[in-house]
Amino acid sequence: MELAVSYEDSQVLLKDKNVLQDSVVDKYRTAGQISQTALKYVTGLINDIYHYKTIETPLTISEICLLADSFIITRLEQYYKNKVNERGIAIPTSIDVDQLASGWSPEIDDVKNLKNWNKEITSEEDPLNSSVTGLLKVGDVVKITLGVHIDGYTSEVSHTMVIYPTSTNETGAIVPAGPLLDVKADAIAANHIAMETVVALLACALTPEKLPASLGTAVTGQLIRHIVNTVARSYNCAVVPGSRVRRIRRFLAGQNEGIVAEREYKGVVWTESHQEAELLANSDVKDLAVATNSSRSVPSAIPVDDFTVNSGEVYMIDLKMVPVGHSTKKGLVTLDVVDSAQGKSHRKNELVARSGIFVRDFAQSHALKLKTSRKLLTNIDRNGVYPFKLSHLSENFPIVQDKDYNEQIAALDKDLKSFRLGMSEILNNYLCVESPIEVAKWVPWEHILKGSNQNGALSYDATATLTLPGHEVPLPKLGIASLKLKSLMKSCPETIDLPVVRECTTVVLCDSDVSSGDKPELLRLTGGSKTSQPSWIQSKLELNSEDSTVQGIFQLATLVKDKRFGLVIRETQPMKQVVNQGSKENNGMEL
Amino acid sequence: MSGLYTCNSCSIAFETGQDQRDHMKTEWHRYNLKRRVAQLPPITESTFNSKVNSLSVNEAQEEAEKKKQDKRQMTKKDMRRKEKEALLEKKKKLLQLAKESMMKNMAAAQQEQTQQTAQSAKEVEQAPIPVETSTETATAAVTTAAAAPENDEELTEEQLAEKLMKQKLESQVEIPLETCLFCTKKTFPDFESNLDHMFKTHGFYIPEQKYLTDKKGLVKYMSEKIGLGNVCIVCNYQGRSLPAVRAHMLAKRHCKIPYESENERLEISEFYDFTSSYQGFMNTETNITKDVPAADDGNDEEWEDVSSEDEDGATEVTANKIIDDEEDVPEEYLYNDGVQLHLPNGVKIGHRSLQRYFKQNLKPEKELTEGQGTLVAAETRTFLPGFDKKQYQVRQRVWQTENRDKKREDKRAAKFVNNQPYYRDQLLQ
Repeated sequence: MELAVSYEDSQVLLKDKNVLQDSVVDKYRTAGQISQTALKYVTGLINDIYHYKTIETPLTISEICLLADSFIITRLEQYYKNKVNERGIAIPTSIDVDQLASGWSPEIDDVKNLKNWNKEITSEEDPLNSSVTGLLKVGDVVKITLGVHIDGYTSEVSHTMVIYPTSTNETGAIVPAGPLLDVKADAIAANHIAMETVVALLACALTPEKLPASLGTAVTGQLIRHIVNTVARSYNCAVVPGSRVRRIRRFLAGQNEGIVAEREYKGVVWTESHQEAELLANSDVKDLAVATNSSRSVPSAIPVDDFTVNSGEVYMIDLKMVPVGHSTKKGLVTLDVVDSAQGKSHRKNELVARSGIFVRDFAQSHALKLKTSRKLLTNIDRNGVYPFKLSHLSENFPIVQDKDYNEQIAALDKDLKSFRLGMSEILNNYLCVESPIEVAKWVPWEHILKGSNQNGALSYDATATLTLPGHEVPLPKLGIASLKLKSLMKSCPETIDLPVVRECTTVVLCDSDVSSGDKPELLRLTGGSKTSQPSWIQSKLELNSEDSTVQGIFQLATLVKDKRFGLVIRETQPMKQVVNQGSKENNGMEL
Repeated sequence: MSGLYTCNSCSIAFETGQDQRDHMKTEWHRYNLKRRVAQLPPITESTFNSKVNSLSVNEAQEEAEKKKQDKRQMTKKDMRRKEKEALLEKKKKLLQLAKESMMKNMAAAQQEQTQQTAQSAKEVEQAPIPVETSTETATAAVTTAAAAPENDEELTEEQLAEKLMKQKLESQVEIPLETCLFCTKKTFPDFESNLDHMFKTHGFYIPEQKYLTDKKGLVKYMSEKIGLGNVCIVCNYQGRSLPAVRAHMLAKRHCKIPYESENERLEISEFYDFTSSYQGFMNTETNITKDVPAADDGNDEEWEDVSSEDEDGATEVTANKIIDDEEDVPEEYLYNDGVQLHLPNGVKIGHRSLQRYFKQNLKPEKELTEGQGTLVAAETRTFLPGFDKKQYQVRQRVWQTENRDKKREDKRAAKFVNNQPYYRDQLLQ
């Protein structure tokens, strides 16, 4: 590697800057406030368009993403100006509908392209139709993901919304016509319960004596995984690979996962290999020779569950769940990366799209040939280390209210053309990596067992996108590499897409010296009751109260409610006046 | 026993070796050692101490005065100017002296012509001032260093110069205007024809004749330099006598008036009048001094204007403004880091000898932001070593030799291959 940082510098950057102080907590809190406000802004926009119908011409998903990013940048202008070197969008706003698990953040020039590429997906019934047209429809599960960072202190949030059919109640207010009753409801319920439980669990790390006895004595990675899996199982759901509960540090908020093999990774990740282990444990197969792949990475970079949550750390809880109750068969939930190839192997019902989010890989260096790409790369490097969209690099970004909206969009569109040209060279030389658009798929387990890996158990697919160190092979025990898994996925007619539910929140475990009260408290930067209220759903399933783990979960819930002796959880509120201003903006926006 | 430990430089003896060693460390001994090197007799300790005292008192006074004067820090420019002024002053004094003596001589010659009789009286009056001064200095020297017998050595620089002057005046040979400066005993009917001769045969060219006001004075000054000072007019070579200097000048072709560096020009500037050229061209004059390339003395420094490294890191030589002559180096620089002069306007001037480095177009060193630094610090990926050109070349050579060997082998093997279609082996018949 060409670049290097001295040992002293790396100690400062990785250790000293991550020690929680008042100034650091302040930055986290401000970042949290802005992301909460932005989330409120996006949900407000969607509500206005699809529920209250106050906006006549509906905005497409790409426009909402662009407006949300503009909103964040304009809000950020007011905070820590000239006080910090870097602040900005931690993750471009993405709006994933139904089976899309992550990364759906099309540029405005993609709206036409998407319609051209996906001519087969025309029927209103097709769940992918909303993504292609950019317009949501009733019954869609919409995941909004966004994030803000100030000086590298990051808060990310994602929240699941449901588009309801509306009716007017007796007071004249517009309300949903009824609760969601689908299998999607199970996933939403499971995800919400899991999220709240994990937040409470992390709060227990500050006061380990309050941890319910049935859950053990310390908050460990294994415990987190066990609880989340228990909740998911009770609601007939599966945790989607790519979910994680991980410690975040300054500038290391998971945005570079899969690119940077991060030193001292601490967190629980859910991958296909965990599902595989569970499925194999339940089967009669006992004599599987387990091939151990000696990973090239430093051991601390490989995520393992063997850790204890400590106070003074910041955690990101990013949980995605899918309902798997459609079949009695066992199956594997995996993610399929959407690409823009339209060749022979392309199926008619598959989505064709290009990802709008890119991540810079600083370990790579290459002398670019095109002037456009060189210019673009300097621009990208100036933008920071977080994922970005090409429109963020334009001079016409952010979109402001003072100027004509259509003109601004046209100017942005023009800029994007030259950026696309430069970006292709940058991508070809691996200076940037596309952050993939992923679709959740369910593949029957028996079909996978039929497949075999001719290349040997240790072979793995080097081109697989963004794999965590130590988890390069999705199914290590069966020795199935990602390319093989992809072919199995395509070859099986029973493979189906599953609607994904996602919740993400960032929490700061404040010790008593930095907490607002005298007791140690958990500062919930994003999510919570103010912005991430669960949708109105009804699920037939419920937790089995006989189970000791479930009893522990109930105890945690009562502890959270107990203001006096329970767990102290403080939620970051969205900015009130700003929200009003934001809604005014909606109304005032000429569209 | 005392004869064992002696000091030859100070001509004293010691009782013990320790005394001798201590003595060797004293300043007095060192001073005597230096005198010995200069082939001078040693002085006693008391003389040495008195000398040191007088000197230190002087120094202290001078320093105090200097401090008062130099409240504002003297810049290098000022210092250099002062030095130059002092030098000019000295020269002027010498010239004045020479002129005076010359006038005296001329007057004396006239007197000689008119009054043949007063020969002996004139002899006394020949050099009244130098004689007087020399006697004065002699007495002063006697009074200051009464103990020292060799007052000759104790003379100050000024006194020495005057003494030298006296000697010179005694051995002076006057070259009249009608006589060639360089040839021995070549006289012409008039001054102009003499100049013509000198120009044609010796290349004695008088520069800037347009502005020359006192031609005779200039030639007279040169003749003084040769005749009185026995100094070469070009290289200031000090000859022992007039014939020696002439021989030097003829042999080295040093028969011209040097007119290149500023010093040289200033030396003969009193015979010129450039005021007519000033009208309307106040700046052309400075240009002339700048543009005329100078054959400089040893420590000439030539600086080039090199644009400061801009953000792209491209170091490019924008202006090759070569400034000659030490005096013309921009002197308002902030500091000299040994490689470049840093001017207050932000321009860095590099030396010509480093031009090849300034011309390089290197990639700028990448400065990481905190975010990038954090990512790099957290990185644990290991990468394959990059493409090594040298290693590749070595490998290529190996492949080439392998190929050659293989070809040769094949050729050799081909000799034993039978290509005849209907060949019948005789042995098998």
